[in-house]
Amino acid sequence: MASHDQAAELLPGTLDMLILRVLARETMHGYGIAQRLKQLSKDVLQIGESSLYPALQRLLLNGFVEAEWRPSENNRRARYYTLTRAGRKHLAAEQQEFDRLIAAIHRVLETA
Amino acid sequence: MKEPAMKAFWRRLRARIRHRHFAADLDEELAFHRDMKKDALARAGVDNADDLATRSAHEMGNTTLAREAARGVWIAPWIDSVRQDLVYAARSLRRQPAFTVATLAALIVAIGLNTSLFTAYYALALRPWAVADPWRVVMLFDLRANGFLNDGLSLAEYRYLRDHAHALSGLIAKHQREVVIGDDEAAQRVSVAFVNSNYFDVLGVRTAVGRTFLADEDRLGAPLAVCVIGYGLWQGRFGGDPGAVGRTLRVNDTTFTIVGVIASDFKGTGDRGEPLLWIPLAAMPLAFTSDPTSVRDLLEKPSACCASIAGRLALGVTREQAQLELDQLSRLFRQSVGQKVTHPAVLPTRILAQNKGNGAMVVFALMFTCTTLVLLLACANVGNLCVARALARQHEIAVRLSLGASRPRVIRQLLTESLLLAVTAGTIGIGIAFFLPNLLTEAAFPGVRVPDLSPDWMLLAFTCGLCALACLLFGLAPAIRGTRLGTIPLADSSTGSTRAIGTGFALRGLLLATQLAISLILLVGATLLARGVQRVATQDPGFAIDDVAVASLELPARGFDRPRTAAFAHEFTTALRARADLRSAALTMFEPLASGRVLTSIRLPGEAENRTRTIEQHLVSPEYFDVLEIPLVAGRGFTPGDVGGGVALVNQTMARELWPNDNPIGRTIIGAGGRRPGAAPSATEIIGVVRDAYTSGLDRVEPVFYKPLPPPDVPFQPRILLKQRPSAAGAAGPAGAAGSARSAGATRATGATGPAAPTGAAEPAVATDLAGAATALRALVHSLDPRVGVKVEPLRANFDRWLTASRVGAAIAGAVALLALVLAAIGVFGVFAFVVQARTQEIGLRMALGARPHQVVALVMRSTAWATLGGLGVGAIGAFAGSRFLVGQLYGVSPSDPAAYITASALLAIAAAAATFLPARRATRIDPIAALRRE
Repeated sequence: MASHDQAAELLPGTLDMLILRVLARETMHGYGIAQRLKQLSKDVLQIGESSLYPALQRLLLNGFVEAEWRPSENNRRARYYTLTRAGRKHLAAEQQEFDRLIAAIHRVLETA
Repeated sequence: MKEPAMKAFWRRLRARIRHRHFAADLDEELAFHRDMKKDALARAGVDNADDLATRSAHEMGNTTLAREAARGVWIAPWIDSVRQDLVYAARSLRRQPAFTVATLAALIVAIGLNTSLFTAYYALALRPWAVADPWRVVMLFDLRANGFLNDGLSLAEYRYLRDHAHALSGLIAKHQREVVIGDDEAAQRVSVAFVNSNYFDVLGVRTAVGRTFLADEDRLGAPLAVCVIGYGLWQGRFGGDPGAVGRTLRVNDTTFTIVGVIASDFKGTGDRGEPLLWIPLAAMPLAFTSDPTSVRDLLEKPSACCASIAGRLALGVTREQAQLELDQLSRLFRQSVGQKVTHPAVLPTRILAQNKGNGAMVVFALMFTCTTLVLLLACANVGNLCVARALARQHEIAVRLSLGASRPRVIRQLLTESLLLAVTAGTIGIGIAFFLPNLLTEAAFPGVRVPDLSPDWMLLAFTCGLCALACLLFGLAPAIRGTRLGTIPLADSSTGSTRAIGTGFALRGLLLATQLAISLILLVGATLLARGVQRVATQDPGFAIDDVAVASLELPARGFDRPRTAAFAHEFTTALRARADLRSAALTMFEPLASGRVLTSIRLPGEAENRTRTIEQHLVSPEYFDVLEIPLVAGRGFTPGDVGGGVALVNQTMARELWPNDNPIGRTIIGAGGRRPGAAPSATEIIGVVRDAYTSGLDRVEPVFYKPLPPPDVPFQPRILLKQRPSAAGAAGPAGAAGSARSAGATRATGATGPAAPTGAAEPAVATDLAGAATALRALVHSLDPRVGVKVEPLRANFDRWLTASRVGAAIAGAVALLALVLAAIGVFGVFAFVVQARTQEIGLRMALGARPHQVVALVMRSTAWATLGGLGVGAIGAFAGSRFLVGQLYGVSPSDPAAYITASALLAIAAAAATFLPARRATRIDPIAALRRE
């Protein structure tokens, strides 16, 4: 992977959550999601296509997002992903779980 | 939790179905991604096009991987892995063609035979009539005091039951007879069913065109000439023209109007063959105008016999309840008309339900058992091969387990291989089952016509069950065993192989013993059968068979009603007696071992009227015993004056059974009187005893009595027994009436005066050879009525026909046993090959230390000695037990025939020895150095 040396490894399972979080703000296509993640994380998270697209398919399969072909900002056909209601619920649950986990890890790191 | 999983499943399914669309979406999406990246790079200042492409491709990573990974999310993981398993299984089976072919052949034969037998069994024993809701349709039989089921009741009784029974929602009657249909040149003798008017409605049978009968069309005394034709006749005679309804068809001498055509799937009811057309019972007098009395008797007299009766059980009524009600009604009816009370038996419509205890069932069950044994054998064998293969592959399996394959996954892989084999074999087996059942039933039940022998869903279920069973039997055990070794052998191959022997051996020994036992049972059974057939084929039947020919008269389709038949029989007999060259010919109704016979009820004087016994009766001319060389042992024989008289000859068996302590001569037997109206019970005097002969079956001599030919007014189609005389044919008289052969008038004129004087004609004076006698007979018949044909067959043909069932049975058993033998040989080979392979190092070591080759072979043999001995022991016991059942079912079988056991064991020993040869040779050729180096 090209970006391995500079990019941080994601905790397993977090990519789906991050994608849902990005989509919670607005409907977006795959490339946009990758760009947004990179930009928001200040280039720390560089998501390869071989992780991004399987993740998107997984979300589609579980019904957390919906896909739709639409013209993009530069007038090309792009596939836009929208968060569904189930996806929103899932995101909330995941986020809570993630917060709990991080807090726990923090506590261990600080007190041990 | 459940619901999202379900939704995901549907989405997955949709993606699978719209696969192409889905892939295109993904590709386009990835292309868009790449382009966007390229644009971004271009904006960042990369100008060079090549460079741009490289950089974007580089940044993009592996597109194919991305696509496959994305797609992988959608494919349920098992679909892909099952496909993988199948491909892998096919490849590994292809790599070992010998194993694959042997296994497939064994399974195909076993499954094919089993499905065929099941089909035949189903058609005979399980399948009901092809009518609507067949399980509620029952047949009525007359259960006689002696336990015989008589097919049907009188029509008078039928009408009484129909009008009074509540347990049945409908009761139908059928009387099947032969008629001649069509005009002279297109005349055809066919089977017609005379039925009541709602016959088709009760059965729920539909017409293809037109209608069935109306109630008005079956009123006694008001016959209407209408008929319904079968689909076959419609296609054959009318070319399937819908306009056939309304056209006419000549039946015997009356013209009938066709009112409907029955749908093609209805094949009639009962096992007497498929009728080609149906006519209302009330119209019977129209079809048989020449014989009004007997038809009227049949239709009206309570004592007449009979029509097949069937009914449909009313809703909520069981067969037992119907039985009770009909019992009651039948008693009431019979008492009211003064008839002997018997009991109607209410039985299902399956063919074999009505043929209890005729032995065929037992033979059938035996065949079924045998082939099931073979299937087991095939499974055991294939299992054995699979164990050997699994062990040979333990390195491969260990590698896979070490690389992280889960044990269930490896087991599944091995199971897939056996499943592939089983399914392939099953498919071909079903193919076989489409033509074999016909041959089987024809061989086993020559008389019964089974309407439909095509396999159906029951068969498919059965075969699938067999396949699954086979698959489990030969796949699962080796698979579980093969994976139990875990990953250790890879690290330490020597301990691996030692462990393999330990764990594998109990299973392999059991398989080997099972095969040997089953093979021995089958081999002994087949040998017993073959020897039985051989013994019967060469035994003396007790009557002359080789120099005798049977001639039968073939009356034309039209113009021979009962009176004409009787008249012709009389004319013919008289003319025959007048011919010097044919005078020694014997007349009878059924020659020995004919396909038909006459059974009569008789009793002894002083016995109660219902204590009758059924005994075979032969009507014969005085020459019968001379032609067949059956000697008289006591009393006197028939003379020409006995014709129609009340005298009889009995065979030794009958004499022994009826008069165990007395001289039968001068005693009387009382006939039941027959069904002819007004016939009183007649006394018959025994005038002599003849030697026993196997005239009615080759298995044993039945009690038989002989009566003289009937009086001239009884219609009678004689069979003529012609005999080849060694020389001048002393019995035939000095010369033949050759000159008068073509002149019927002359022959008849000289009939009463005995042999005509020689006229010095061109023909040989006396027909000493069969061909000459046949020619003379043909000429004689032709002179009487040119329309009557003569068929001549050697008596030996009957004998062969009689043996056919046994011969076919023995041939099938032989084929099955041969298969078992080959399978056993394969099994033995597999076991020894395995032993040698597993103990290569040990053998090498022993040879390095100076072991002789025969010691090595003994070592290998010893390891399977217990299994071999145990299997043979169990097999011998099983064979002895099994063959006890064969006795009495097939001719000449004796269970304690030492030759059969010796032959079978020898065959098995030779096969086993041959099978051990290759592995043993391999064992003695093991290079000690190479073997030890592997250690």
